[in-house]
Amino acid sequence: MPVTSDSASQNEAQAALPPWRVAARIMFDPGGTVRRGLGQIGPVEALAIPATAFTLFFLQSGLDRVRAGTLDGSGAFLLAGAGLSFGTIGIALVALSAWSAVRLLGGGIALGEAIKTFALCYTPTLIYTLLGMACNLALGWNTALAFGVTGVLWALGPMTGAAREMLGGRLWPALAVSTLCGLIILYGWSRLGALA
Amino acid sequence: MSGARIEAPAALASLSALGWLSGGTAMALAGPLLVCALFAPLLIVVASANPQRQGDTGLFRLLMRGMVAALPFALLAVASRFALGWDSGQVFAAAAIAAGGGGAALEFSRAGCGRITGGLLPGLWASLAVMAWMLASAALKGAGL
Repeated sequence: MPVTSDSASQNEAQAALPPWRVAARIMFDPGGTVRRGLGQIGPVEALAIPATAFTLFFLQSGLDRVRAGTLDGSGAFLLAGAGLSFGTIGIALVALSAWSAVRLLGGGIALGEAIKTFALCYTPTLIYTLLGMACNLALGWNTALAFGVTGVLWALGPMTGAAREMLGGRLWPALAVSTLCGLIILYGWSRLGALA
Repeated sequence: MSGARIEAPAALASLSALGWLSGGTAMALAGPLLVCALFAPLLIVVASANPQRQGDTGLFRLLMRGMVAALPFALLAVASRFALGWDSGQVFAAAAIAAGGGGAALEFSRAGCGRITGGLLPGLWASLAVMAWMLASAALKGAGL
């Protein structure tokens, strides 16, 4: 498809945006963000978002369980470490699965861009887990379910929008891709949570 | 488009499943009706604020196309209840309605509605719908219906 001067200037504008603004944009306009490209964001920066989000999420699970007396302090840190692995290796594998599904369903996107995009979709999760961590530490609330799971679920909206753009605007295949990603994440969380 | 015909039933069925998981049988029936009733004033506002809107697709259909975003949440909620044994239908329902509001905003914007009434308002409206849903499902569950 020929690149128009309008879309070229939009791409240039997106490339000039700082990474945090691209991450914020993907929450509200995932399709447009994918269409214009992800600018200067590299894979490490992109994966840092789910890595931090899942570390905090799993740490909150651990702290809740410490408070309930079913886990000790070292177990909570072990769980946070599992969250870090899940947020990096796990999300990269989820993105790989999503990319494979997008390709099978007739969409076209490079693997690197797909990994960055799906990683950035966890920006709402990061916001929720940061809020949850603050409430957990400052107020002593059990926050893993209220903030952690909610945050993970909030990634599904941007994921559906991003997948829809990758699939040329087709809604149902995009819903299938985001459901697949959500199922992998839920299953992975339940398995890792059971290990500690 | 063949998919358009099943968008409304799919969205309503998703809300019904989420209602059942968050508030029992009564909420399975009341949930979709509640969402439709709560979003009806929004449709009136969007329609009156955007008389220039392009296209033949009605606003209710656009709303339902956006609300189909609730489908993955409903499937995940069912999977989490039956495969993982979690009882967290409220959490899934809240996220689903909010995502549905976001989806509706996207559809309204694509149809040429303004940035405030088409893009921003549906998301804010969805937050009110989430609160109403949580209150209604807790009340119905508490009443044992």
